[in-house]
Amino acid sequence: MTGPGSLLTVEELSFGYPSGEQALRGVSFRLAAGEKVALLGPNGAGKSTLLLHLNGVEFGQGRILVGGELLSRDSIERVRGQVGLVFQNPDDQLFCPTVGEDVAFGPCCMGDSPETVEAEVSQALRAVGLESLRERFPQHLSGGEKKRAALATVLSMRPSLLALDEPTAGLDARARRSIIEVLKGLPQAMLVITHDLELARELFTRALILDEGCLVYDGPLSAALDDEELLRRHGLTA
Amino acid sequence: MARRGAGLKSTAVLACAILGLLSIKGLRTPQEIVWGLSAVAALSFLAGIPPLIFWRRSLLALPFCLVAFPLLFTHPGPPVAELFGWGISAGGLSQVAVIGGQCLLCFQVMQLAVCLKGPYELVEAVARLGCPSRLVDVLRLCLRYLGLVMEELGRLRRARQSRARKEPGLLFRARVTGNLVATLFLRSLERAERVELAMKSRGAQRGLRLSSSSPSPWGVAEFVLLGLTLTGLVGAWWNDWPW
Repeated sequence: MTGPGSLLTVEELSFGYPSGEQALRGVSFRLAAGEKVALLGPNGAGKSTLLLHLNGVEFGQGRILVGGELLSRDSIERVRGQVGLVFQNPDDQLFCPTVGEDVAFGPCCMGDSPETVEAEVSQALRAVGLESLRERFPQHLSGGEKKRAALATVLSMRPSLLALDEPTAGLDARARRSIIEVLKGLPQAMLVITHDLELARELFTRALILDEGCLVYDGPLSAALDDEELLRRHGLTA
Repeated sequence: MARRGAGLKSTAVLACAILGLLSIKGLRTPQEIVWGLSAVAALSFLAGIPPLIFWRRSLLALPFCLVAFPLLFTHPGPPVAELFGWGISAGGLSQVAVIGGQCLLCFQVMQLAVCLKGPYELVEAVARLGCPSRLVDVLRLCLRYLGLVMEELGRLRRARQSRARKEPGLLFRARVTGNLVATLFLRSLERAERVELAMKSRGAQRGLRLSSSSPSPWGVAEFVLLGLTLTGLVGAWWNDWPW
């Protein structure tokens, strides 16, 4: 199933929580380098759980290959540098006293030299337009700034895949637009959970739809959005 | 250089606060407590802290002061007054005033330090004074999330108030407050789990490492500060202050 040029391969991934709830059931898909894909589905479908697996925060049954390397407990450090995971609530992501320290956290954990860390932090903050807020306390940022700062915390690790959990949730129109523009300008492959179908239409050409832990659709986004019955069946429209 | 100077000031403020806290133990009479309170009030005035805010925040010391309350009745000595039919001795009164005053002064000294340099700078100063990095990281996390927890508490309280038709009795309010605190605790636990996941996802496997830069090595100024602190401690010991 691992094809040439495939950045991410997920094969028959299943995962159940200790409570007995089955979150993922045999999910399989591939992602090419630079490809931007929307991950859609109703609440509780297993989307966030899937993202946690891509980064090795959770381990289920099945295989995940990132850049051709099998994700295991031995390869986890290398893989985490390749997959940047951004959580839905930026306050969970920004845990350091200042924005700059938070952006430096990942590279420091990877053991980069101070000079490299400095360059990576500057570059990541520039990419999201927050260079001037480097010394700012996260609690003093607006909602949109927090989301962009959270994105910078993984960009500084130079990942080849960004796994984002609802990057525009809870933002006003202007902040939402700024996030979309930032995402448009990034060259990395992306797997983005979103309920914002307008954002999906603007940024992505392919969609995955997850429902009750199963991958029920993998194909062109426009075809999925035009299929009223599909959207209704999987809770994407009322 | 400017950053180093700022760090040095924070360290100096913290060292002075620690010395101040140690000195408080040496105040043994109500008169000395009054002198201490006057000195801290004067310092806070000079620092430009509005007196009303300063004294309102000092009320946080009240529960600690109340711990000394039973001494009013249990301290031996001839009774000089009565409360609830129990005799109050002059010695007990003096003890309660001293212990309560000491608690109040401790809070005021730390409040003064926080107002002068800000909590984050003081935590950095704690790191510079050689406190274990794990403890400093825990302090940083506490500071980072304190505001969010308070916001959460405010939201819960407003949600409760918006559904209360009339002001309920004290017992009911106490029960509701207990529920709020329990809810807040559970939500904080959930947040802690999510923060841990966020740390893990960025490669943190060997425990916390929140600060990207290690504290700069000590210079002459830091050693002078250490010398002053040690001198203060020796002076306190020489004067037989009870630790």
